[in-house]
Amino acid sequence: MRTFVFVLFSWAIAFSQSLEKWDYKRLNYVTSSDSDTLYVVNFWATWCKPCVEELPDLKEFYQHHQDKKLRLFLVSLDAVKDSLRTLQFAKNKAIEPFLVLWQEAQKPTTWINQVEKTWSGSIPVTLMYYKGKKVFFTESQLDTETLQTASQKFLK
Amino acid sequence: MKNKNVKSLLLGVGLMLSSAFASGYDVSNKTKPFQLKNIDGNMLSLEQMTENQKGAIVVFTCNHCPFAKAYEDRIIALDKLFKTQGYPVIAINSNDAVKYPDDSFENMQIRAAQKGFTFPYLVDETQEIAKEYGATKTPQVFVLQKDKKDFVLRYVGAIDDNDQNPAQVKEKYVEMAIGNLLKGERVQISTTKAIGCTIKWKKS
Repeated sequence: MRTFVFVLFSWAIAFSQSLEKWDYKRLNYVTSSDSDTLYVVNFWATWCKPCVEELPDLKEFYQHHQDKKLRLFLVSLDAVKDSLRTLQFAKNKAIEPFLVLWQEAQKPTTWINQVEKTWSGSIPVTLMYYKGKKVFFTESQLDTETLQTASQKFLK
Repeated sequence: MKNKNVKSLLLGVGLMLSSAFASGYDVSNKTKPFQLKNIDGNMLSLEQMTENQKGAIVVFTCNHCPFAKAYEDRIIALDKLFKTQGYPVIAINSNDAVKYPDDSFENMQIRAAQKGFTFPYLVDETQEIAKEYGATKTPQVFVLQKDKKDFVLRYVGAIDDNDQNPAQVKEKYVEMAIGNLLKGERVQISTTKAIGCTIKWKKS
């Protein structure tokens, strides 16, 4: 039993170090880069049905453009205390390489407005950043076609 | 190619605009009266709530959403605190029960009984009221103040500033807003935002 707990504990530590954990500052840092990479940021959660439905589309979109300058971040808004469960969920969906755990819990009004003024707070939300500028925002479920159209001119 | 660029730009702008204008009421707007079916089977409207009513706390919520669940106890607490002061809670579920079977009328009755809801829990089957109010997610609160016959919107947004941990809440927005109103003051923080579960619209 003791060994089991120890293994579990060290695994928890290992995973907590390797995973991407972001607050707004980190998001802003990553997306304000002036490189000609297109950054696609999607806010989702394991409990959000339309979000989970569009995850395969986002992954497919990424895989389709793997040779181009494109980064995909799937930012989970699940509770911080449920991180292990979120990670397991991401593994099952094979989206783990794109997973980011959101760390902001207090004062959502502030960071939601910082991300996008017109965002009401519902998810899924998808944003695109190019050369440090926000070039796309939508607060609704996406499909591959919309993603294609919105990203086309920025994909090099 | 050029044409496609223009198209993608228009699409982007269109999406931005559609979400920007999706909101219904703004703070200080008069709200339209409604009548919806309560879990006890009776139709209920805002003005039938309590004696000496000064307003209402309208909460768009549902059964399936973890955020809504996280707030159930806090919504009950709000009702207990403010019903006697003229601001009763009135909960509305506008979700499409086809998409979310958890949110069916029967399951609303079950959930209310399990949690011991002290307030009415209405079903907005046509989703008209959610659209009228501009509700987009659950939970989302609209604090209304009675002005003669009208109910005027005074606060819209979150219940407080921490959904994940009630013990770490620093600002209780709804309590603060009603506190202002009861003292005859202007609501100081009249709009806030929070993450919530998107209200699933029926296909029209």
